[in-house]
Amino acid sequence: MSQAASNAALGLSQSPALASGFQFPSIHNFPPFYTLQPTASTWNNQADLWGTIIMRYYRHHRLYQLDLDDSLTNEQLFNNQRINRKLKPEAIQAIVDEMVKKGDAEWDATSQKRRAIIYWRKPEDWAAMISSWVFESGLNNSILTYYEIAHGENSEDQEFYNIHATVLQKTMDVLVKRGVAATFQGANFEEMGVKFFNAGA
Amino acid sequence: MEQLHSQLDTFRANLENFARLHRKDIQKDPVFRMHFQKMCGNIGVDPLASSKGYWGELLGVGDFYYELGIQIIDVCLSTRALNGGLMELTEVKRRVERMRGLRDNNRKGNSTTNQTSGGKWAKANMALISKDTSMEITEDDVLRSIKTLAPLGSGFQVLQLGDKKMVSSVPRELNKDQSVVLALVQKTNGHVNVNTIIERLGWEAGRSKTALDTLLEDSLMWIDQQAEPHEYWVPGFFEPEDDDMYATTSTAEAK
Repeated sequence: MSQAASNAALGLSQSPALASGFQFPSIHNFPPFYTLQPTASTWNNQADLWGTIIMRYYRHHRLYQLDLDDSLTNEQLFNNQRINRKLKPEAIQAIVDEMVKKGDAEWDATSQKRRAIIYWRKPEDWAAMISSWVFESGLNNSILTYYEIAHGENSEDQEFYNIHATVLQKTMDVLVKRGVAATFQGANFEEMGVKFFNAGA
Repeated sequence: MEQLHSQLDTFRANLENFARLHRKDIQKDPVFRMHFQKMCGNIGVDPLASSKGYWGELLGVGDFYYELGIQIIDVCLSTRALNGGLMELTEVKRRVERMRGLRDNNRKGNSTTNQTSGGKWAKANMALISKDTSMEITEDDVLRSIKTLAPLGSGFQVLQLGDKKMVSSVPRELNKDQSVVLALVQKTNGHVNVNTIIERLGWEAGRSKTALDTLLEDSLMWIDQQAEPHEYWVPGFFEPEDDDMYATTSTAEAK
């Protein structure tokens, strides 16, 4: 429910035929869009456009990680069956490289440019969102686990519900750095704890 | 000679009176404006050449073309990323009109969401909408406006390619072969390959390839290497009625 509402608010509401899908801009049907353009200025624009589409697509589907080896998730994004054109992995890498420069994405350092986090929201934004949720829900007096934030009952209706572990960790780093919260080691990632300081409200 | 001078003075005075009298029509009625421009042109007076001077102040035409010029620049620059700064004149006009019309639509949108708040809004909207319906423009207006941009050194110019007028917003000289190829592409659904050119224009392969590659380098064309032979596309000729192609970074991104 809230997903549909927020999509409408983002101007990404769908025509009935595409109710579950994502509406691509028409350049997605432009055959040369799937060839890495050899002219530098054209390539810059092409990379920008792809970056924008990727961000919108990932936000629409609440996706966080772009995985070059997971062809299923990105099936619609990079493979246009209507015009029989496909973006090759090298081209996707080049596009993500450009996104990284702008701070819109980050390669998983261990993945040799096969996996990247797409930041359709910045850790700073998530940090603000999570800390206001904590204070508004009166959860600031106890220690919360990462699991409770990302998958707990209390956060079910929040945008950060099911947030990607890497993004959550980055978000917590921001909060700790700002002195808004402190984290506590847990047995595993989900049992990591976080305590918000009242003064940070 | 003296007689001629006095005749000219009389004529000029009449023209001024006429212009003063019809100032509103000149600004609001595109057909009237065009006739007035032609009349002035016939006697060697160009109200636009002096947009900040005598005629401009008298008529306010300067403001009209100034505003239009800004809108044309806006349209051309916001789409340059894709079309390399070359766009059909009719498309420029359509987008400028939409830009002017958009203001209506936005306000209409507001008026429906604000219906409950009563008549004040509706009235204000009516006033704004009726004002904007008089903002119609003609191709002639666009052409004149582009001419007024020329002294700015912005490189804005109108090129005749085939039977189409194209607005170029990048300082450039298209060579003959490039122009001929762009004219051909209009007839081949916005894309060509070397073979098409050889067949349709009777050129040798080398010459065809050179023309295409230079158009590619000038970012007027995009290449599709997943087609065999490689297909060269002019984005400006690809579904020009679909604006979203150019607008992926606009409103939807706001939140």
